[in-house]
Amino acid sequence: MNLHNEVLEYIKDSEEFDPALAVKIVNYQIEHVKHLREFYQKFGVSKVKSIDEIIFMPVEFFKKYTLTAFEKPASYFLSSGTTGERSKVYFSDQSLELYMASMQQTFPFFDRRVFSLIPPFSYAKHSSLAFMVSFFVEKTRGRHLNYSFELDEETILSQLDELEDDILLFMTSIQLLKLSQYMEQKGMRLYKKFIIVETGGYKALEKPYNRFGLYDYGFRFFPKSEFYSEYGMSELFSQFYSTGPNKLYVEYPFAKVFTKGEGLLKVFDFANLYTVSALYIPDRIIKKGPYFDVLGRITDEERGCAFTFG
Amino acid sequence: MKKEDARLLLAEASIAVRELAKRVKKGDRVGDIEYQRELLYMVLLHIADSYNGFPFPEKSGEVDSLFVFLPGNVPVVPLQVLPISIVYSLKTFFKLPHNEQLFFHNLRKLLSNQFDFIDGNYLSHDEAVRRAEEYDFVFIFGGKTAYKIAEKLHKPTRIFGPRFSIGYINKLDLTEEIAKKIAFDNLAFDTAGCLSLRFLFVQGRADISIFREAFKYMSSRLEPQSNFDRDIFEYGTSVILMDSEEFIRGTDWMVSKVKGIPTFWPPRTLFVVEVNSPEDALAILGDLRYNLQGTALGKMEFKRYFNDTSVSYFSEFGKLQFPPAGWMFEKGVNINNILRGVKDV
Repeated sequence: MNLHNEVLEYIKDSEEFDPALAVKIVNYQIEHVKHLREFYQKFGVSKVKSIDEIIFMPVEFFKKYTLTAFEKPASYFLSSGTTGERSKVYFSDQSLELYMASMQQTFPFFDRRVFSLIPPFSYAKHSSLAFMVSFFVEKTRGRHLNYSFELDEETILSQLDELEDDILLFMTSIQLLKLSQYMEQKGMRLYKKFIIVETGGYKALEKPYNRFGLYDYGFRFFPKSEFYSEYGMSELFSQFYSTGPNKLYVEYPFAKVFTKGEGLLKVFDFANLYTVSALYIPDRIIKKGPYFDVLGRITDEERGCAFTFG
Repeated sequence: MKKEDARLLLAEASIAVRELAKRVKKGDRVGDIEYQRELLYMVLLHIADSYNGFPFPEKSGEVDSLFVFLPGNVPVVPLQVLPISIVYSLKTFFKLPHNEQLFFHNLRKLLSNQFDFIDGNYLSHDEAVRRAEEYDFVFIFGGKTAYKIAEKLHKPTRIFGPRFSIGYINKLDLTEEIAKKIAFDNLAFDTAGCLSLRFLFVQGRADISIFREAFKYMSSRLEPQSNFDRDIFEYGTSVILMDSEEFIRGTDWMVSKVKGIPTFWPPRTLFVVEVNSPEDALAILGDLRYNLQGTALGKMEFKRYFNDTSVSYFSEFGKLQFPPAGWMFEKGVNINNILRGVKDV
């Protein structure tokens, strides 16, 4: 079986992390992804023999380098750019196949119709989030409720009012905040029983909210709904979902979190076969068994960019 | 206040700071953060000494009270502001950072009742902005947030920051002894202070292996502070690897030879840049030359190249943390104009 099919099968049916396959993937990437090879060379490593030798590459590098195993990738996703420069993540049909296989395994709500405030992929052509949500909308015979990067709260709310209970609603954290603020201003409440899955983007919020603080606020205006969260980014083809309302995220065998206790996120994503699987992400997390919570991204001042002074 | 009385108060403050230094040396817990004791001791003694030679303004101004937003990275800033409050007789309030309050309170306890015009505490952001309005003048130390605070205030303000320090040396002068001094300047306050050396420009070919023993030695003397974030260090040093032509990495320090200015500046990391001349160094710095604070020089004759920069203090290597009495944080700011708005300087 070639590596692609091996990884595909593994994503579709795996119960525990497979270190041997992870090592195989990393060596494939060292061979085919030029800048990853250079990164390993900095440590004097040309090939890894065990999982302990894997070096997690800072996700920042997607902003600066072309990280792809393809000679001619079909297209690319762009990160949201909420922190300035944007990452470019190249893909082809093969990588999308792994992406979709991972989505099928991680998304816990295929039994519900999916509606989305995130514009469709046909509109947001370089958004991996739009690609993913459009996939779910299509699979569950749901519907897109928004075809714009802006949010027309009044129109959205009148559409939501017409939806039946128990549907699933995808929105970004900033959309949840804006809808809630609008409803507060208008003295509105929506007594529908939705599953609301917010997709993050806290960095773009006007003032710092943590996830649960935002849900507490949103709950005032969607009092019968339950809030779930999806943690993902363009650079990761696998996503993480909270295991219940206000609960922590859970890892998967094919998207394994290596951070121990509290620290920055280190993840090995098998679905990233054609880019870089072992990624170091500047989000601070707390890991408890297979579960983790995201405390937030390190700030500019922590990074040293603001060259704090005395 | 009469000049003689102010001089007496300065002398008394000097004794208090000296006492604080003694406690640091003894191993007492003086702050919420565990600082590098050897460094803090040396800096406190230096500050205590500097009070005795502190300059007086030509005339006292119209400002009677001062509100200070302190930074969270270096604890000694209130000690550098204190003599200004004394020579101007300013009722002064220090808004303490959330992560370090004990240091100020310990200092305050050592100051006698005669210093009842000095007060400080932690306040929430909104409360601090509200309180600052009650004062005649406001100093704001901080990064990007300093400017946001200033926008909200209706009082004359002076913002200090953001700044960092560099060194410039000819390769022939880069001896093992100097390398140790450079390590000292870099590791001081985990490279978080404006006077901590971040970039070393070497005229000629730089062999960074000279820093291996220097950093090993100095990192054991200036160990990471208790607020050192190993995650940030590890992430940051991973990011800059790709920019590094060569590097040496210890468990909590790194020396990286780079060609330009990296995007990440991790703590306890020295960037070494080879150049042909000071002009080269300035070209590499670009607009960052206007964010320079201190500059350590191998030879003082290099000083003239740094006129068109914001450098406020030139020193030898190993001396960046010890500016002279009357140093007012930034170029062009002195005891006669510090209580005027930024635009006046």
